[in-house]
Amino acid sequence: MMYGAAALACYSFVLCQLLVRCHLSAVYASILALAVWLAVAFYPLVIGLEVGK
Amino acid sequence: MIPVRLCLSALKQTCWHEYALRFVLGGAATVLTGMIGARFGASVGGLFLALPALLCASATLIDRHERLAKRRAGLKGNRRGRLAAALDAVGAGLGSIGLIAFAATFSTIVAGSSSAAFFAAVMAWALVSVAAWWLRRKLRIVRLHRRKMPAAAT
Repeated sequence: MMYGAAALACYSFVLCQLLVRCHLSAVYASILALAVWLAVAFYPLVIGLEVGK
Repeated sequence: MIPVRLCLSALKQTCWHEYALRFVLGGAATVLTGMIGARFGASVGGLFLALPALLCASATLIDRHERLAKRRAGLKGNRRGRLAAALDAVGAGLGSIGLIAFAATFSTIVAGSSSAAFFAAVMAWALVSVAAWWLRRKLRIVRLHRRKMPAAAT
């Protein structure tokens, strides 16, 4: 959950930047930013880090 | 500091189907988390407790809501919609910092008592989220003040 929450923080930051700086609509920005959430949330699993028991 | 207030009249500005969409997405995300947790284990399921399904819907709805409000006034409202959604994302970001504190506190205390762990975790979430909001607000005020200073000197 901690990794998920950190990923959500990154997602929110990227979503905000896409909306304000790249002038994307909320639909496209929120879908694009999902890639960031997936990357940050699953990075510990991909590199084989123990995420909890 | 601006006090945080509860504005119940804002509830009337949202249509029932927008609430329904949020409830359905929230419920679906919870069910999905439970299914993933049962299949792949609690640690993987825990990741999905912070799935941004609601934020996707919320940002989209806020964007649409603000655009429509501006269009009724004869303006395009694209910028207003994007900025309102961005502000929602900032709030979610601050809340997710609190969520990290929630998870850390809960995992530390849960071995003793689950109800005490839940209570402490909620307190930690509230404290960290409000502190993050306050800190961001202070930093923004300082930044805006610095921007105005050279302009005032000329």
